[in-house]
Amino acid sequence: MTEFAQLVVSALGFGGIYALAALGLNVIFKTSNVVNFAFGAMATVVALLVWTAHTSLGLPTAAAWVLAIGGGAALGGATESGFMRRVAGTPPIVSIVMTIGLLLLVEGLAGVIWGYGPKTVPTVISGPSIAIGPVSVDRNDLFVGAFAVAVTLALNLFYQRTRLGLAVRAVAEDPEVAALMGVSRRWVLGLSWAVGVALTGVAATLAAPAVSLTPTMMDDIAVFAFAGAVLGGLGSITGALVGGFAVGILSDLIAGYVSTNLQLTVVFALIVVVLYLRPQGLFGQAAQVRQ
Amino acid sequence: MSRRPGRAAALRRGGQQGDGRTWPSWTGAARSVARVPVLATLAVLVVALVFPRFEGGNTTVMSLATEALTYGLVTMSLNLLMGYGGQVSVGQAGFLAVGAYTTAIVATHFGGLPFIAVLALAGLVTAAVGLVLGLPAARLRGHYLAVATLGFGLAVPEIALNGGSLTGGYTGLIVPPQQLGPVMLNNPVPVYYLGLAVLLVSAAAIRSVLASPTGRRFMAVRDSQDTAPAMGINAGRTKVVLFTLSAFFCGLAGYVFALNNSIVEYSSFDFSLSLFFFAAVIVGGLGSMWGSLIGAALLVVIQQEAVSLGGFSEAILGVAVVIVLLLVPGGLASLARRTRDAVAGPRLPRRPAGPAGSGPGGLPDQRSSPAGASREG
Amino acid sequence: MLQIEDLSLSFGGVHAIEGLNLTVPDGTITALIGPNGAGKTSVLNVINGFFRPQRGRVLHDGLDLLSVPPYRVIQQGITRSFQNVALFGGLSVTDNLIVGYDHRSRTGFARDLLHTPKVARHERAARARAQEVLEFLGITGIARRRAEELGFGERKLVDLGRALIGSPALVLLDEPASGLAEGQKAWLAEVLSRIPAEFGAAVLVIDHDMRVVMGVSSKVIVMDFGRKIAEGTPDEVRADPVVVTAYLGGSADGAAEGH
Repeated sequence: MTEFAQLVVSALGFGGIYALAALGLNVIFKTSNVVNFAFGAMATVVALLVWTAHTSLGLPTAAAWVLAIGGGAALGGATESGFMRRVAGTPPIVSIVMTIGLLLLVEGLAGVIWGYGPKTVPTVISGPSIAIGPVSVDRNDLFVGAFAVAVTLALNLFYQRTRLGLAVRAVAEDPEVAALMGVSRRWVLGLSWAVGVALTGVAATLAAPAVSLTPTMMDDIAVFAFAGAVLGGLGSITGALVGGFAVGILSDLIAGYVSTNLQLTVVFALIVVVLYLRPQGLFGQAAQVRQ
Repeated sequence: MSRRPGRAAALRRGGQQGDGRTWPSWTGAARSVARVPVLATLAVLVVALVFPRFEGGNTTVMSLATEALTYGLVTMSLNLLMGYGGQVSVGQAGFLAVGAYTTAIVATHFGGLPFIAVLALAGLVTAAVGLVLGLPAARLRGHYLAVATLGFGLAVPEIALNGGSLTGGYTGLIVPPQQLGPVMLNNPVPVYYLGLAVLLVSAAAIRSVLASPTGRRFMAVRDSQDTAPAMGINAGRTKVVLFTLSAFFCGLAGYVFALNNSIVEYSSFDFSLSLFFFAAVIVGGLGSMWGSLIGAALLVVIQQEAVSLGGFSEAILGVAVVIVLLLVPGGLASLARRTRDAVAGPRLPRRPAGPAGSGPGGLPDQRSSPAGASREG
Repeated sequence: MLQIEDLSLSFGGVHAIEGLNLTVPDGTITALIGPNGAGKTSVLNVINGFFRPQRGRVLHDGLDLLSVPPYRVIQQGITRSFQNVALFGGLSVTDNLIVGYDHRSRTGFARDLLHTPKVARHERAARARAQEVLEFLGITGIARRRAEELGFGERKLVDLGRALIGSPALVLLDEPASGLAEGQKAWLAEVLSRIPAEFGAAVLVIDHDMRVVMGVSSKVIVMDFGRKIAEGTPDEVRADPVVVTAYLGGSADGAAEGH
């Protein structure tokens, strides 16, 4: 039982990362109904920017973070206005092709610019683990997990309680009506993409210390984040949090009780099963999915 | 067919797209299925047949050529799925893997089987997997479908890695050489010819399907899934058949792949290969079989240079995809078409711009009756 | 013969159809008219199998249509055209028509792969038939065009052709004249009137422009708010005061003009 509890608790860190990455994916999907297949690669760029700012330019960690997140937001906004906007109103396959093209492009360029050698980034919080009863929690894990929860709460508050959040939801559900009410669709979309990429970028930067920073770092993590987003429901904020943690815990349990090799397999199976049985996930909306 | 100048303008009402989402005009062809450029095809065919006479001694080149044939069949199968069937798939390398592993496993455990049986099994087992994937996939659309195929494309190499002694795990499986009559298929040249034969027969079969009710059903579901049932089309079943067929041909490609590489390992089929196939089909031109072949050839070239290009190879593909999307939706195939049209003139005459608003009097054939003309308001 | 008995369909609180009784005898043209929102398209959607009614029966030659899945309705000899002209954009005009004929092929995908003689025979027959329909409609010139390149009027005709090519027993037409110019409407009425003779089919045509349908129909049924409010020959209906009021005053013809 202790082992089980320990496994669950140590999933806090990665669960939080998956949740944050899934949040980034869902924020974009919520407004634009597009799955940003390039989200992993874009996030890696953010993490690489932190490294550059911190290591090459010698900036203090906090400043590096701010710079990189700003860069991520800019990248997201530029993607929307430079690429996605041009294919607005086309059938879904077009935007799928676009984000996949961007995935190849961004990942490739990241390799060219930064090279494939692993780099190191310090964790945000360091220090000894905290003991809670029989289990011990890594401080950084705790921070990441709590941060993910905080971001989720903040986003929910934003969407439900602020005027801008309402405007964003309006654009998502009925762009024409939103336009009539004076909400600029372009602005909202650009904002969503900026926030989405920035969020996933944060996830990547938090993950960097653990998985060694390379341009392909997010490949595996992106898959877990996908699974989390699908399980929670594409476009759902709470869903991203729940799904991300669920996937984190599930993969930790599998690694602990069965084998680390099977983690990815089970997670993929999860994706397909969820899409077959309940495509809208736990918290998503059924109407959007079928036919 | 005579043309009546007034009619076209009379019936023409600009721009309204009443249908639900029509497929973007990427497929570009003036007809449902792109015409085969006969001369060009014959020329390439001759080159393909004669080519080993010159390069037969060069194992690397022959092996690359066979790789191009293999990739060509994969991209054609993906084009069938995406371009003609309208179903997004970013997991096609998974089917290739199933075909290749089936070949290796069957050849290892059932050594006496004739090569044609192994080939058939590779296709059929992969088709079965396609069926299984197609069942849930038929219920999904757009991004959800893409994510499902993503899951598949990622899962297959993982399963291969964890398949224990069946799949050889990390080290993979050696492919025992096959025998084609008196010829041993462990030599690059016979393997090349076999690959060419498989490609040609498959291409013929695919074209045959496209010019038949099944093919039209694929395209009907692609263009207007919700109204297709009124024409007697069971959309779900059609999509399942589509996935199954696409997987079948990809499985055949897996057989050739296995022979060509002599070893089948999980790392050959990672997710980036699926992405590359996807990019190759888009860049070649959705809905054009020739485009898919050209895309596959490009892919082989890029992969070869990948070692020296590093990240550039990915970036180049990415740029090509984005450029195609924004500027040349029909891909390379449409570029070729435009060049030919510019040189030789368009195949279909341009729509005549006649006087606006003229009534139906000029329109029909000999059926226009005086009664019809007098009703003009 | 099509028989609809006591049909009721509602969506949430909206009663799209209420207690509708209607028959379409073989080989005749019946018009279903009424103001916008009267429930006319819903009737077609029920016959087609797209919607399931809460109550009522729909019989075609004695067969219960409601027990038939949408993709099998065409095998009962019932075809339709669509108000929003949902052609298959990437297919040529000829192929769009042939899709309406394909339900007759008895070949599965295996035979299609091999292009057996049976498949070849079907293809030849389909192409010949498509040519006949194109000639009937007077649009042979656009046979090889992609459907999405067509002008609106041409699309409507192809949609109609697609419904006719399979030699149906009953053709359901949903606002075939909407969006057409005056001269085109006249041509359409001409074409409609010839359908029973050329194809042996009965027609149930919906339109809210009475002038198109009145001249060709032998029977007219008027709906309003989901109910049938009048039935009879065109002349009877035109003179019916209930109908006149439903169209909000003025003469029935004048008030019913366009959208």
